[in-house]
Amino acid sequence: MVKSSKFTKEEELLLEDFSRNISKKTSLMFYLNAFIASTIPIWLYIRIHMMELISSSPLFVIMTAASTYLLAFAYKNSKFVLKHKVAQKVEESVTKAVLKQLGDKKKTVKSEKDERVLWKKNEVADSEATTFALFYNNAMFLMLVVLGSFLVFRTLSPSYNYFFSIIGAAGVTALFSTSTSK
Amino acid sequence: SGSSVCENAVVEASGFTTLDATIVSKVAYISDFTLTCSNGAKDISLYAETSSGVAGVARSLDGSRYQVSWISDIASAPSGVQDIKLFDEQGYSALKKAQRSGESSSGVKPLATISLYHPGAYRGPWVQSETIAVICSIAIFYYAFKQKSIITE
Repeated sequence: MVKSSKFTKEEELLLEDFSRNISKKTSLMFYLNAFIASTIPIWLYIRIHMMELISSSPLFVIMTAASTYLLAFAYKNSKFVLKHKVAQKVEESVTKAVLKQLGDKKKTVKSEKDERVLWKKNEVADSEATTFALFYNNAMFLMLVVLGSFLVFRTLSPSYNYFFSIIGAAGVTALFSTSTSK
Repeated sequence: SGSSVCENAVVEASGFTTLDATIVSKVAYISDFTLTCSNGAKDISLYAETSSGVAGVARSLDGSRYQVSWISDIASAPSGVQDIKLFDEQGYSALKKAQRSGESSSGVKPLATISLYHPGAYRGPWVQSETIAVICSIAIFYYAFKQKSIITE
């Protein structure tokens, strides 16, 4: 029985917007970004660490796939945590902007105003959290790759260096994204 | 000609030293010179005292050109003006004698002295590019981290 739900259709949509689930479009964008970020280190290992592209391609493919998955996971977690925080931050200014927009329509009922503010707030928080999650996790991942590649694993052969740097960087990035900072 | 003693030796030298030491392990010093004697002496056997010791001087087949060269480790390669003291047979034996008896060789007057200028070899950048990459990536992450703590405070 679908109708037994206590929520209206709008409320359900709103709930979905604040849930951990993300839309297909966002998910696709996260995976695409994670893929791009994961392929960047390949250039470093070919040009600087002198790995062979063709003979090392199985390793590159496996590691890129693993790190794409881990990074997309990290984006998703970060976005969820950040969205609530951003929503709190932008509440005041969004309310002001929406009310200004509705200013001439004096007759707008209060419940509609509230709803509009909520939708707008959700929209702003969503896009800000998405963008920042990408930036933050990419910065962290690439920093860890550079540190692993040039400092921690520099004595290892390029293949092992690549393996440990990528899995370490992607793993740590994914791990930190699960922490719920207060 | 025919005399083995060179009088009023005049040396005209051109030199080479290693300037780029990024992919080599030794710095080379080469001096190429001609020797003109007022008494017309030619084909003189020469010895050179350099910063790396005494060595024989190579002579071209026609006896007109001479060359002295030596190498030095990059880390200890001296830069600046390198004096090359040239000795003939007599000077060389006097030098050896002085060295054997433990005296200073500065008392032996050289036939001529060449000044070879070595400005110092380039040993790579002061800051490695990976250091810059590490610092930049840390700086960017630090900025991201700061922003995150502003958002989540």
